[in-house]
Amino acid sequence: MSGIPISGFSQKEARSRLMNNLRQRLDRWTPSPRTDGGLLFSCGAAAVDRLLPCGGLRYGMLLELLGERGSGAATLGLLSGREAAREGGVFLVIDPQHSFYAPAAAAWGIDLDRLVVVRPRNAQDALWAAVQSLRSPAVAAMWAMFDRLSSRDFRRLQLAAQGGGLGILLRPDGARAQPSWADVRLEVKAQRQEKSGRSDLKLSTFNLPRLIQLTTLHCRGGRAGKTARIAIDDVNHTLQEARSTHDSHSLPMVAELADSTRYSHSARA
Amino acid sequence: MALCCRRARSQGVTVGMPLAEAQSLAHGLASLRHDSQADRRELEKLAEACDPFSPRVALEESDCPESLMLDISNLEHLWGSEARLAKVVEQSFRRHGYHVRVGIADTVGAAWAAAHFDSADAHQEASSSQHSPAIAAPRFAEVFSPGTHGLQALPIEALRISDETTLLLRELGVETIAQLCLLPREELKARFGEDLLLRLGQFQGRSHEIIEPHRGLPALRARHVLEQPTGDHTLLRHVLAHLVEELTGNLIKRDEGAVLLVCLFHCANKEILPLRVGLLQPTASACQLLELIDLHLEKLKLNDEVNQVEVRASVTGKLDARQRELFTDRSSSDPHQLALLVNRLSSRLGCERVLQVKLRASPVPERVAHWEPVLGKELLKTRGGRERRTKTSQTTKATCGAESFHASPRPLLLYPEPHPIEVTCIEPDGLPQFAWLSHRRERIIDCTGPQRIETLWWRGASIRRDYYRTFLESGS
Repeated sequence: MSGIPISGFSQKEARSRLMNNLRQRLDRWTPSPRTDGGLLFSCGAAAVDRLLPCGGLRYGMLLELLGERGSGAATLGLLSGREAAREGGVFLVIDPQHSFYAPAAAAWGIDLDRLVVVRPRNAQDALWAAVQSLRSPAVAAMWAMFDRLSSRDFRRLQLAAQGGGLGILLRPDGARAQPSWADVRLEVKAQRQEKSGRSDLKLSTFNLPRLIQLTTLHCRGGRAGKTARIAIDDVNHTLQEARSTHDSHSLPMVAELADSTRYSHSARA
Repeated sequence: MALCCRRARSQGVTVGMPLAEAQSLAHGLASLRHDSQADRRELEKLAEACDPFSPRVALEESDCPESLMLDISNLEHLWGSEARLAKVVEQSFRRHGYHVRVGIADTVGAAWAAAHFDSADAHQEASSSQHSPAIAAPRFAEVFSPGTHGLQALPIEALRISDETTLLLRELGVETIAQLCLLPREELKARFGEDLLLRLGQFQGRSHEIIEPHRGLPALRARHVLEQPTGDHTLLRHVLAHLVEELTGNLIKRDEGAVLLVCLFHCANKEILPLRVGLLQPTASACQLLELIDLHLEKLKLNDEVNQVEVRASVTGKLDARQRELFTDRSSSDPHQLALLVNRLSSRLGCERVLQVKLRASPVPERVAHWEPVLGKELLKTRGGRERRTKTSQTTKATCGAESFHASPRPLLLYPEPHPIEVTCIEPDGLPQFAWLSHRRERIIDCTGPQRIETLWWRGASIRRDYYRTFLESGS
């Protein structure tokens, strides 16, 4: 109760002030979704939004996607950035390996007039550029690939992201064991395609959508362990919840006991 | 001897000759100690005095400049003719006590040559004169009209090339520019390097040469001469801070901001190290400029100690007045904030590493994206919506053009160079069945393709490649 002047206030007012003070102190240390009124927006698929705290993405958030190349993590990150930049601002890509293919991004709806690509020389420059971009009010979303991030560097990114745009970090699967300061950490795994019924490999005349499974590894203000399955259609450039093509019969795990009254009736007859 | 007059030359005095020898050749020779810095200061004053003749006046690009460059494009009508302008300039300098020679031509190189060398007509006049050619009254002006042959008859020294190159060319029998032009360019480049071709190009107008205007110290330039040369970055930073404050003060008075700031470090070994800071939007904020200079200073390597520091606003623009907002609105795009970020990124990483893309229609995937530095191109123009919509429609068209070549979608991450992988096919030229990726054998369960792309023959070696889009058993 130190530091709270009581004189000049009634007991009720003093209690109210004390409670507010305590609540603020608790909020500072409790991981809870920020309620500062940050704008909430979808990441492009309702199934993914359900995994996120408060049901969507928010500016000032750091989203970490763990997945191997070809798993769909890059596409999911791109779509999140697209939604973040929809209301204005620049979509900034940190591309140290010179592998970002802008025509594919344009096909997914990224406005190239508001796309800036930074190609740093080394990991140190990449981190610096990411921090500067997250701090800038002009950047709506920052998309970067980091193989390794120390806890200190990750914390710098998290602090830079607060009050800034959406930070999207693409990490390899092996980064799962590394510490994370992200608000949301999703594992992205490509799923095996449904059997097409063909026994041998034949040339396809159509492009199958990619199935990916998302698992929440960590979620500030939410529950970890939630999953979602989505289908990425690279031809039509859409993202939707995946539905299984098999019949979904719900089979009980344990067999029901037979109803004894039925047999007793038949015995009397 | 650093310089000598025509009369001394007529008595055998040459540049580079020891003073004692020159005095023995030319009786009554008056000599002064050569002070290149004083000469330069005087020339700068004369440059300011040329403001009535041209808004763009520059000193000759040289360690010891002796000439002034005036851009008189579209100004000759104010004086009646170019010859009349030349006469007015000559008379103005004579009033200052200087005898000058004026050269007018279409290019900087040709004008310099005209001012320093006599054309064939001048030689003819001199030879027909009663006086000795050496001390005949020189022509005060040479005006070369476009297409005149007099230019080609000038000696090769008129190209502003090094003495070594001049000597070598003369040994080979090449004495005039006309003779040089007859030689194949590839051989000139192989033998004499790029400099000769560059100077020839500047003379003929094929290579662009910019006149960097000299505006005078108080306005867009600030300089500080150090009492003792130093290589200490902290001290240099301190000096730069003062110079930038002075420069930005002058810029604000003119309601202008710097778009290109050049910091020059004059080293003790005569080397001048430039440090260029480019900006997306004009700014007169000393804090912002110093922050960007700091980023450049981190990469600066000094070969010797610095004895003079100079700061110039080489390119300026009108300052954009903007109303500060109390509550920033994230939904609006703020060009100023973007400019700050781009300036910072470009200063630390280099302009060539902060890029934006333009799409081109091409069947070859790696040729579709054309990358350009953001600095130099405004991302968000203040003229605003119309410009933005125009850009979007052009981009959309380019996207459609590019995508129309693609039968199958392209990946988001494309290796800049192709990586070799091992692929197993059951039949020769058949579909791939297995692929070795990251030291793992992956079974291919589905495949689309091939999409065959051939490199355009006019772009070099014709290479044919087949693209497959594969689905692996793991799901990738």
